[in-house]
Amino acid sequence: MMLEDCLVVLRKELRRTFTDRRTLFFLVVLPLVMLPVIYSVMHGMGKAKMDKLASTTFTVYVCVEKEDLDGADPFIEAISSLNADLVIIDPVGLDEAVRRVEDGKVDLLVVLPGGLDRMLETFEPFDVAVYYNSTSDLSMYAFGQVTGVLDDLSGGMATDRLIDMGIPAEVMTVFTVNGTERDYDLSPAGGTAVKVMAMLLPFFVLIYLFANSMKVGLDIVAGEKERGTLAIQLVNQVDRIAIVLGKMGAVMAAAVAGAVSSVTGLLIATRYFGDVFGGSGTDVSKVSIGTVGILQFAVVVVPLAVMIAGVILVISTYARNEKEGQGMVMPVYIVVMIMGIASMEVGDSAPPWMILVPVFNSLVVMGNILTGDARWSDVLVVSFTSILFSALSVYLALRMFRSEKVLFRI
Amino acid sequence: MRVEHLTKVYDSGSRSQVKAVDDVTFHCEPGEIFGLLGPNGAGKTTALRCISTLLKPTSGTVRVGEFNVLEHEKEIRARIGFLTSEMKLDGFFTPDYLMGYFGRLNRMSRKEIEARKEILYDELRMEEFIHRKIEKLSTGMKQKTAIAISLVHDPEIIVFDEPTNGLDVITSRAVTDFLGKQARQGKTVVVSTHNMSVAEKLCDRFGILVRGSIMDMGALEEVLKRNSADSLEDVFFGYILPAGEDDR
Ligand SMILES: Nc1ncnc2c1ncn2[C@@H]1O[C@H](COP(=O)(O)OP(=O)(O)OP(=O)(O)O)[C@@H](O)[C@H]1O
Ligand SMILES: [Mg+2]
Repeated sequence: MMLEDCLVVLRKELRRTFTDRRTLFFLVVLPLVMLPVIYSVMHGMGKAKMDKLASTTFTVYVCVEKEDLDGADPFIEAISSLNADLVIIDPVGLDEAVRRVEDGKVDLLVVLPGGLDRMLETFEPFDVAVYYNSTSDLSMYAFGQVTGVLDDLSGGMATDRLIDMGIPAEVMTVFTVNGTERDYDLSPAGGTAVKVMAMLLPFFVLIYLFANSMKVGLDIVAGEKERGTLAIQLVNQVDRIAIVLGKMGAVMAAAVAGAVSSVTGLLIATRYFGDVFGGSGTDVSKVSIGTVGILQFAVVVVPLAVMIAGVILVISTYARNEKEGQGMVMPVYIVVMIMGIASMEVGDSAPPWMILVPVFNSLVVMGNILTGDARWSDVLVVSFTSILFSALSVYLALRMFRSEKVLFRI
Repeated sequence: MRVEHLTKVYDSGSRSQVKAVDDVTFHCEPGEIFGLLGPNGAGKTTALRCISTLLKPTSGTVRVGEFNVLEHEKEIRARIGFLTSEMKLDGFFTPDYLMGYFGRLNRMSRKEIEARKEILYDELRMEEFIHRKIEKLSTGMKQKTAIAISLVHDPEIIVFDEPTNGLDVITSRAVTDFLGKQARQGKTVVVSTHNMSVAEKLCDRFGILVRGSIMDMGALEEVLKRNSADSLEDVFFGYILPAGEDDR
């Protein structure tokens, strides 16, 4: 009988929540598309910036003594192969050139040492100075490009010398490291991408559990109080516990729906635009936590959703109207967000007692599940604390539902 | 239905207590319409909430047949149809859906619900809008819906808090006609209102409630005669204005 009553209420609330297009948009569609959209914009901007830099001609001053011009030839040739405006200057103008790099008028200054010709002939090692300006993207880009071709040039010249001496070029390469196309990352699931995911994903799960609980939970009791419809729902044959549980079920469903779609959104986003956070797209496709991981994840997330739904319901029951409810939820939201950020900071190094702190413990263990090193004992402890707090909030909500002082507070 | 020495004190924490209803006694028989007539803040809503089990009386009680609000909440709820004032039904649903929902909350079978729908839709002339979303309905249609919902379980006692508030004369008339018909069918009807013409036309008897106490009670002629007044309005002002300002 109880269960049946509960289902009557739950069905109505689910219908209210999940068949209204506007509500559905906020609860499910938005968390799904938000991250892919943000990521693709960031990805697009990053790519556009790189494209722009690559197509922009940068200015390089090459400082060389007049008598060394012959020896400087290969250097000049190498730099000219880039998309660069190359200006050769005499050491007399060096100070002025430095100033121009400082001012950003010139992107790069390459200084070839005096006596270059002689040193090349006598095989005396020398240093080429490349000055750049790290406040300018173009200067940094030019620096990368120019040092790249200079490194290649150095290697090529050394090889040429050996060949001239009659020594085969292979001698130069004693061995290479990871020189083939193979994938050398043997982490159980995808390296850096997994680390990033282990940090971000629990946080997004939390945000959407909370946001959706709030959206639905405040309307479902405080909103009904405000509209006067709560009172008539209490004058009938159904026990109030059925009403509390039915409403809570709907809040929880909305919370879980939000968590699922934000996780899906995060996976899509990192799969296609993962380079935004340093991991590469292909890395993320390997993020796979297996059946056990999924099971562990559910054992942590579902009780967490119940707990959050419960807390929101308690606040919603106490509040006189939706607005007041929002005001009361805000501090809780802030505390929860701080926990979320703290969990990203401490990660594995959390002290053992923190396993008993609700919300926080769920986040840490969710991260561990993603990196593949969660212990079942931790998973169960976390689940148990969430269930404990859920039960507490259901008890509180029910007490409030039976108290006329709370229901008719003015 | 008998209300006996009903007193309700709101205890709002450290602040002073509010005696919203003070030793109110009245009764209402099947076939009768009783009105609680009083100004804003008189305690009408509080009294009706006590009758409908939403609030526990501080002292005194309400009896329905052999049942007592203090001990038999469920039994009383099964026999009472309660309408709160200024209720805004969820605009997302249709009247028809909400009828079904509240029918289920009252543990009615599908068949009972359908039968009851047919009667109420007909009596309240709701047919044309039962499948429209409530947000798209006029105020009058919404009020009819609220009335139908509160009576889905065919209660013997009808307790309506300001049922004609905010309605135009036509819908107001439809509601009072409906309540009159219910009374003729043998229902016990208790309404609250601050509207004197409603009280005059609708109620067989009424009590004038001021600051939580019943000042006078009876049928219209009785009350007028007792107060040697020409109209209910005169009687009403006589009780509301403090004695010194009363220059009648
Ligand atoms: N939940 C509550 N807590 C504390 N005081 C209350 C509460 N509800 C009503 N009161 C107080 O009790 C008194 C009677 O209020 P009530 O709402 O019963 O009057 P009413 O006759 O229905 O008025 P109205 O015509 O404005 O609806 C008022 O002084 C009001 O301030
Ligand atoms: Mg009132």
